[in-house]
Amino acid sequence: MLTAIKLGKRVKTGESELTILDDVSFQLSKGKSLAIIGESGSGKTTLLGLLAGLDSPSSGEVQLNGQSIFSLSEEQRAESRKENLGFVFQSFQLIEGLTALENVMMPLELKGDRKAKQKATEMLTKVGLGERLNHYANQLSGGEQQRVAIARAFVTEPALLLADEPTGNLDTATGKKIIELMFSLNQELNTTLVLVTHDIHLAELCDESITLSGGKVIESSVQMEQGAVANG
Amino acid sequence: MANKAALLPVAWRIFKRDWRRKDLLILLFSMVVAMASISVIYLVIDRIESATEREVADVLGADVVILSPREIDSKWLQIADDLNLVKATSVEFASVLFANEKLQLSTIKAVSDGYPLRGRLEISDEPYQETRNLNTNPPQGTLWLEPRLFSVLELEKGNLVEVGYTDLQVDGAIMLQPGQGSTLFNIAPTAIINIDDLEATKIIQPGSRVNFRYLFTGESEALSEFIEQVKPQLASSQRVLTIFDESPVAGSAITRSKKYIGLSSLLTLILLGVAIAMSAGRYARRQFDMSALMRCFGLSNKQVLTIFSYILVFVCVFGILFGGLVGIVFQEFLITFLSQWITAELPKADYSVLLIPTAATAVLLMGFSIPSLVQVKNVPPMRVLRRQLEPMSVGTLSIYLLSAATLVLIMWVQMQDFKLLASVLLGLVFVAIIFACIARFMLWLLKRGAITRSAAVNFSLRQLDANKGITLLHLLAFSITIFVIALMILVRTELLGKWQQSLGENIPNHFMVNVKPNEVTEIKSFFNANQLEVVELYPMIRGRIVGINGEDVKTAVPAEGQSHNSLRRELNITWSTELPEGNDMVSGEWGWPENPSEPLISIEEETAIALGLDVGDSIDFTIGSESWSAKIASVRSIDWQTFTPNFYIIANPGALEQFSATYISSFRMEKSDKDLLAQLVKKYPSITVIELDRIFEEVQSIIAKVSAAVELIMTFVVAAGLALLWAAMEHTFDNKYKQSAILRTLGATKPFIARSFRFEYLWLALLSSSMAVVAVELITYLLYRFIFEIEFEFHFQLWALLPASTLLLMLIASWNGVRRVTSPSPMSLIRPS
Repeated sequence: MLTAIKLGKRVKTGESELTILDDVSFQLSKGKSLAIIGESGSGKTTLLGLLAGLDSPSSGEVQLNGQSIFSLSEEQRAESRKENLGFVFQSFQLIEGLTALENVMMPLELKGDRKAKQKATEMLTKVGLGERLNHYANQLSGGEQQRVAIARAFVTEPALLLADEPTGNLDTATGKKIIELMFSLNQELNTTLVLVTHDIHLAELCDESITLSGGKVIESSVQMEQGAVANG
Repeated sequence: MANKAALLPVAWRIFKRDWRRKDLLILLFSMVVAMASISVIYLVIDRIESATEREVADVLGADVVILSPREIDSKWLQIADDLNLVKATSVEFASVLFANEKLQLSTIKAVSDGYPLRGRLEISDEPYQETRNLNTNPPQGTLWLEPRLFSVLELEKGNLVEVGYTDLQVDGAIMLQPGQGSTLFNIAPTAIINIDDLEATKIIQPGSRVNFRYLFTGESEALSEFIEQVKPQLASSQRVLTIFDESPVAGSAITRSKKYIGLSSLLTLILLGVAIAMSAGRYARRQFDMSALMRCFGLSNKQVLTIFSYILVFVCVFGILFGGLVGIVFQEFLITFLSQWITAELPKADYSVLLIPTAATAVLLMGFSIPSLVQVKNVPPMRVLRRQLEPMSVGTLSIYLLSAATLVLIMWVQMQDFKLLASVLLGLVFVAIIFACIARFMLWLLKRGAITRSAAVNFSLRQLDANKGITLLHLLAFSITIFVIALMILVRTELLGKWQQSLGENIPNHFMVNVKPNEVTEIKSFFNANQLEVVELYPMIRGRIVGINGEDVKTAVPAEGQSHNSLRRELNITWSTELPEGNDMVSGEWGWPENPSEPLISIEEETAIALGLDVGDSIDFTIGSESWSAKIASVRSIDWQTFTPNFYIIANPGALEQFSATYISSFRMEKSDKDLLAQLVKKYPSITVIELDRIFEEVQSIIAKVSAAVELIMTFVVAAGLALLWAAMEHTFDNKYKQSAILRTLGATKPFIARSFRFEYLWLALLSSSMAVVAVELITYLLYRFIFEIEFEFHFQLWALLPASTLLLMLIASWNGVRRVTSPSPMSLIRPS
């Protein structure tokens, strides 16, 4: 279960303070999907960074499976990401110079998994790239690169998958296929999915959604359990 | 948590990827050059140097000699034994030799077993006949004589010669002996006898004037320790001689080559350090995304640091392996192809010395790349979501301190010369500051020139000014590299030229001493008749300084001057109206007034300084048994490296007319004319001819070796400079890549962009090379004046050559790079992957 409790992020700009995110709370059950919608500059990416523990909040906290991630040390947080999180990015973020297979093997190898190659091959086959294992990133189309990124994100069977505009760099048809793939893996592996998007149609595919504007939640389908807020 | 071992395959995978992408190429190249250059210093140059020093030691007959008028303290010999030094002794004294009812005052050398410890004696059965090389003393009961004694005493091999109370049999003629170069002015010819015959001669009695020469050889560290222990205990009449005292030409060649090699190694390391820092920085910047991604994969920043440390270790291992291989190949190349003149007598290669270059190279890499490594570690993971996020930069001061500490550590290991390090580092910082100021001004000026009809020219000029920080960085990197390369090539050329000049084609290679005044005209005729050129015949009288301004020399000369050589022996005095070649006036003017009221002299500069003398002081001499005083009219410096007669004291003509003089001269004679020598000595038996051509051969061989060492090290300076140029060039391309894509989206054509970039390189080349030229002239002036002590002249050829060659080099180096950065489609801005 993923819980955000009164999350806030403020940065100092000279004399004044700029609020990027203000008092965001929600709770998402395991296996569910959540879309974070909003205009540019509404605080979507900041919220995603906080949920992943990549950035520290000015206030509030994030709990993953009941564990407050900001009470952990930097190293413990990194360890938690390794065990629990997967990422899919708008710009794919494949490692240049490595093949599709090597890219997918990377997070497994970092975990010391001895079956990295086998698991990566299976996952790439599952996303339809069984024939392109040894192709480099620049030899793949945008859609294929995003498939590799999805395979890399799911191969460790993370509890939580965070996706930042996963179809932002793709045409509509390819984007649709990617989303289908992501949701099918989400269901198959019972992964909790948080998705940042501009696309209202994509948001509608998710179980839940919240809409941000100026760093504040202006619309939300997710309910916050009273107990969780009180504890926060 | 993934343990460190689990991260190793990941690091290896990234390393392989970066190898394929050539991201690590400059870093590796710098490492290879660093390892190769330090290896070559240890594998080859050190060996050439030690072989060279040994060769000079051959001229001295030992590595170290103690000169003493009496037997030395037995404790000193015990110290030598404790340090495992090999010893030999030569007892030298003057005595009269009798044979065939003739007599001749001679210098007798009674030498012990093992003499000479270094070098050789060349002995022939008859003078100027075929010689045999020996490195032993004469058998007991025999002696060897200089050719002059053969003619004066009318001797042949096997004849008996009376030496004191004993008769010794002539076993051969001495054609070459260690120390020959320094015994030019021994008027008495030399005879060498076995030390075991000394007692039988009964010549040495209490009070006899005897010179003891104690010869030592051994490991250089033991020798240094020996000198260190003995030197403080020396009496004022005792001296320690090393190779540098014995052969000034070879000694100064070795000293200068050592300074050059020291300076080159240091500059190589500094250039490589900067190249490593620059290429590691570039590599780190290209790893920011990777680092952020790793953090998203769940690695802590420590683990990211571990991965990149592994990569650095791989670079280090490959650099050391390849660089070591290059070093070994260089050494094999020398052995195989240059053995005739370089490596014939080199000590064997000891590959265990490669441990030092290995450690030094590793330290160099770590010291200069750690700041970049720390940056990679500090990349915020949020960069995966916001690409513009950059790591906090590491404190500038800490980078400089770390880099300086690295250099100090390596220099300590390599040459322990902090003075050189400090002066070079300060010099470079000074040059960098001056360059930066000039460059800023020039950029301001260039921007105002951006009003030409060529859009590409205008654009390039504005771009230089728009990216002022980066342009300044590139200008500094280029100009300092060009400056260092030009400086080292120039100094090398002039050093080698100077050495060749000191051994020039027509310089005299024989000395002729003890010519009687009545023989001068005849000898000149003899030389003319045989078409040999003889240098002026100078009269020579030997006198000892006994007083200054009427006061005893023991009280008149300050304490520090009491041990000066000029007070320990008789000085050569001549008279002349012409200033001899190689002499320059320091104070006073050359020339003599007509009929001066008192004798006037010109004194050699260093002697004057040591004895605290100046123009107007008077010196009292003892010449033979008589006293003679003269007033100092001028002070001269002497170039001791000219192989012509040089004199500490020159008097006005007529000042010494009451004394009988002998004459001295030098001349050049080719090997093919050697028969004339026998004729000359036979006709004028009293004269002594000293064949310097043998010593020249030795010196030439020594200079060939040090020249090779200098050439070798210069190769690495150039390679290091190219590494830095390459790193700086790549740095410029990184900035141009994005700039090019933006310009294309704005409608600029590829040829236009390429042209404007090439114009930028043109300005950079012209600016950096012009600044380098000014710096080269300034620094060579300082180097020549204070370090190498050679004459400075402007290098006008550089003013055209350097900008032209820099421009050519940069255009060639940037050609492919410009093509590379102008080729990407503007789409790369939209779709970075």
